[in-house]
Amino acid sequence: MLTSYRNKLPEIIAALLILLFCYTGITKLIDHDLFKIALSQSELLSSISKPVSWTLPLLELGLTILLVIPGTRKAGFMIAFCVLALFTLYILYMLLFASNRPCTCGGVLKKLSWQQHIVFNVFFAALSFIGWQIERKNKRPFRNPVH
Amino acid sequence: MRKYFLSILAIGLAIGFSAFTIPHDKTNKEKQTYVWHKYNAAGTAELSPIVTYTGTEAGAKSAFGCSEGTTVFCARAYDSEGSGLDLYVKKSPQ
Repeated sequence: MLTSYRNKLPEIIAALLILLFCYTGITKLIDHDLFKIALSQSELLSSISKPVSWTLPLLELGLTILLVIPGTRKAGFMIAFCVLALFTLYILYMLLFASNRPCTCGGVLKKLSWQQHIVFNVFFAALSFIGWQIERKNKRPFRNPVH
Repeated sequence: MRKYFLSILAIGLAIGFSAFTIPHDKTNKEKQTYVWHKYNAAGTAELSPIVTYTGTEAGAKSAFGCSEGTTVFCARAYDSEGSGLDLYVKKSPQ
């Protein structure tokens, strides 16, 4: 029962994260011009808007590949957690300090308010952290007891 | 192959959902999104503070209160690189 849960749960979490990163990565590339404009309007990212406009969707699609392959899933969960934590910090900064708040998110996520965005990101960051921890425990090598 | 089932299903769903994303029509300038910089009475961009609006020409007219007219510069469109375009919103003199 516990083994089944430990095998299935990371797969389900990985599928949810794949859906999120694959969807947002593709929509950012489809509407790349608008994404670049939104980034150039951001007080924090305007100076690096051009490289970020390419690296962010490619990073999201790269994360999708890491999460699909079972052998790289643990690294995928770890990077996904770091990326989502960074996104959350960025949103918090925008909410607290920025006067102009352009939405740089992809697809239907643009329709979320900034507060809803934080809840959304924290939820997915927590999922990736749980996935990371389960994968870490699953991959831990068996050690013989010391005689 | 079974271990990839959920992942491939998620990718399929993501591609399906993103198919509903409509990219901006680059051929229609009126519908195209630009960064609009508000122009002052002297006919130059407002700089302190910089007043900008991101959206369509109609949106810029509404945001800056540019009435219909062809004589006084009200705002100018800039691309995502920050380069000024030959696209202005004008208004009538007040």
